[in-house]
Amino acid sequence: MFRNVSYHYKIPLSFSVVIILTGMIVTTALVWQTYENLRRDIFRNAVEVGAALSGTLQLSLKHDDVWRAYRLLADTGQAADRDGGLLLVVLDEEYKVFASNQPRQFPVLASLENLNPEFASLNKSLLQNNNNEARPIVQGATLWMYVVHPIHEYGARLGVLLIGYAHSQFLPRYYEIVWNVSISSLGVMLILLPLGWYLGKNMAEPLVELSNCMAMVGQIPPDEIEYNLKDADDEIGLLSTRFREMLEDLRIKQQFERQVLVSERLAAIGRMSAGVAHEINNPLGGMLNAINTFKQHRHEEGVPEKTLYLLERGLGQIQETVSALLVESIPESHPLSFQDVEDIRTLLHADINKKNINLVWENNLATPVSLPSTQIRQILMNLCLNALQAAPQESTVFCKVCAVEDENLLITVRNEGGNLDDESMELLFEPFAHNNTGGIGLGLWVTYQIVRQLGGEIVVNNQDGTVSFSVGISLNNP
Amino acid sequence: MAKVVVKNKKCCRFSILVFLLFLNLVFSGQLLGGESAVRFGLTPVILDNQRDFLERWQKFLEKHLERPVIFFQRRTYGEITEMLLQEQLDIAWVCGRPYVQHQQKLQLLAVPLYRGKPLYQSYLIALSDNTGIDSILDLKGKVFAYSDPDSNSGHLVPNVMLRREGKDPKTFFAKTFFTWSHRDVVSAVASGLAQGGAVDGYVWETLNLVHPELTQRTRILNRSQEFGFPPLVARPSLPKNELLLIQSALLQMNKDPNGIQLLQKLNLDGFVEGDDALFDGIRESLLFVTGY
Repeated sequence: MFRNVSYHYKIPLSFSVVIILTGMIVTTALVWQTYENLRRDIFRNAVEVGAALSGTLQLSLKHDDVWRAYRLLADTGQAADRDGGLLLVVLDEEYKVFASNQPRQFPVLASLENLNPEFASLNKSLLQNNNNEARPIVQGATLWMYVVHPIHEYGARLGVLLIGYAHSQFLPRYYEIVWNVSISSLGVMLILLPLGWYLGKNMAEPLVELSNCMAMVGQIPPDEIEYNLKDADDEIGLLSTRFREMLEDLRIKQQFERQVLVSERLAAIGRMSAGVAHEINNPLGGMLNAINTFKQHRHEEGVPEKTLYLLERGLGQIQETVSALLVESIPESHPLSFQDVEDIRTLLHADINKKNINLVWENNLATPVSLPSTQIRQILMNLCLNALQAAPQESTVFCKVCAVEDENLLITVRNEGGNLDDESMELLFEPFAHNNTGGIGLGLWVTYQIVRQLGGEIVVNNQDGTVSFSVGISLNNP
Repeated sequence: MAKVVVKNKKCCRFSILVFLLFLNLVFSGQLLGGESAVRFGLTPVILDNQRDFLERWQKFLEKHLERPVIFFQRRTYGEITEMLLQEQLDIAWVCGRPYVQHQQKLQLLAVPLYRGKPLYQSYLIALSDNTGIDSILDLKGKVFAYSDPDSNSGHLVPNVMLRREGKDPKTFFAKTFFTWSHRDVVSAVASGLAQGGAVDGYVWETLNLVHPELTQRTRILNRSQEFGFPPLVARPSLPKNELLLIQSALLQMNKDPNGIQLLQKLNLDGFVEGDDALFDGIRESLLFVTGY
């Protein structure tokens, strides 16, 4: 998906993704750091509070002075936080509540395990740990952090002070910091994103330009390709230099090809002129001969008639040649029908029998199609005669006429007369180019001209010992 | 730099001045105390933490006695009683119990009139929302707050109640503690630190006027019989004429507009000479508890 996106967007997008990812990672790191700092601060604060209170609490525990301990805890709790977010509980040696700043939740003499499961687990961890150092127990369901601060006299434990910080006290501060960090990161990202987009776009621009230019190759002549890339030593610069050279090569090659084409066309015209001259010269020679004979034997019986006959035949030959060249003069005719195609089959009978050819005939025209029957018949006749002529004795000739989806007329004629050589293929549709014996060498040329006039295409498939001509003509062309 | 030095000098001079003033005050106080000032000891039998009231009362007494008056406050009844016996104080407002215990040595100066009578009650209180506790017997195995070990209403009365029910006060409650003031007994019960407490009824009622939000969190389970109101007593050796002067100043209070204001502040009606027989109830209680 992303692979198909233009570098015009891909590079800026990548830049943006990197910027956003960096922003997120930095934010996360800062938030985590903040969380850790906050935790450390609160722990330090708890240790200080514990240290400040433990002297008096030690006396209270020693003298069993619940009231003094309560007053100290209540005043400290109130001073630290008015919302009751700070919990202070003094536990005696048996881990029963000696006093707390929230006596309703933590009544005097209550065992921790009787309060709720959270405190029961706390009780166990208190029992397990017996050294006289303050330590944090983080993350409870009710409270966010506990700090256990032992109260001891000369190393002998009298009790512990449990300092608990409520989520309500910690979370707003934390959320505030998270909010601030996020806003800052967002601000930085808002500045960096357009910058990244601009830089990425700048970076992608030569590549996109190069790509656009390359896409134009083959579509428009190399001379017309506008090319604004600057040369540089980076990869795109090298590509661009190479591309410029390639365009130049292409331009020279196309020029050369054009020259070749022109000379080939000239050669073809030469060949055609020679063919026409030859085709006209032969009957002209015959007619001139006949006229000479007539001059010498004008009074002999039957000579005028014979001369006229020879002249007529010669002129007929010339007319045949000239009219074959004048393809356009073929008159309008009725739409091509099934029977028109069948007529051609009938006409081919003699040639089929002569070579004992197996003709596979598929005439699939159900209804008449809007194409002139005369021209199509001529195309079909020419192709079939060519095929029969090329086909060896007792081989198969395949002929198929069909209308494809009421849009195209498709004519396919195939013979097994062996492949045409390259030279023949090059001159296939040129007049008088073939040394065949039967015709004058205009059949395929005429076919080609008619197909072109009807806006169709003719394709030759020359492989595996068979030669196949396929003609496709649109039924919808005017 | 020079400026700073001058400033420091000024600072020094100022400090010395303050120090001298302080010394002067201390010595003058002692001199006054020793010769002409009336040394007045106060205990938490009243709401003794109202600084402006004490200043006004001090001025009132000084005006009437034409002598300076200095108030002394200590944490416990015992300390004030001891100071009185040691003659470090001239007069003191103590509980009826220390008076009864030391009646041979102490002179009865005056007894306050509360609701027209020189009498008060001890209240047994519990948390207002702590249902299921209706008498002192329901407080078995609970945490109980006393005010002062030498207090009648805040210690002796509940002990006598338990004894009369055949209970041992030492083992009846799961835990007891002293708050050293009646007001704090109310606080201790109101906060839930103790499930029950014994408090001077007069203090509870007075607190109810000043801080109803505190007293409303407590519920009175029982009002005791009436006892002699915590009296004002004089040191053993206080000359009779001085005692009478001070007594008259106190007895005059409800006839003086300033005095009436002060009495209103105290939630009292006045002072009377008082009769030793008022404290017979406390005597009986003591006899019942200690056997002597």
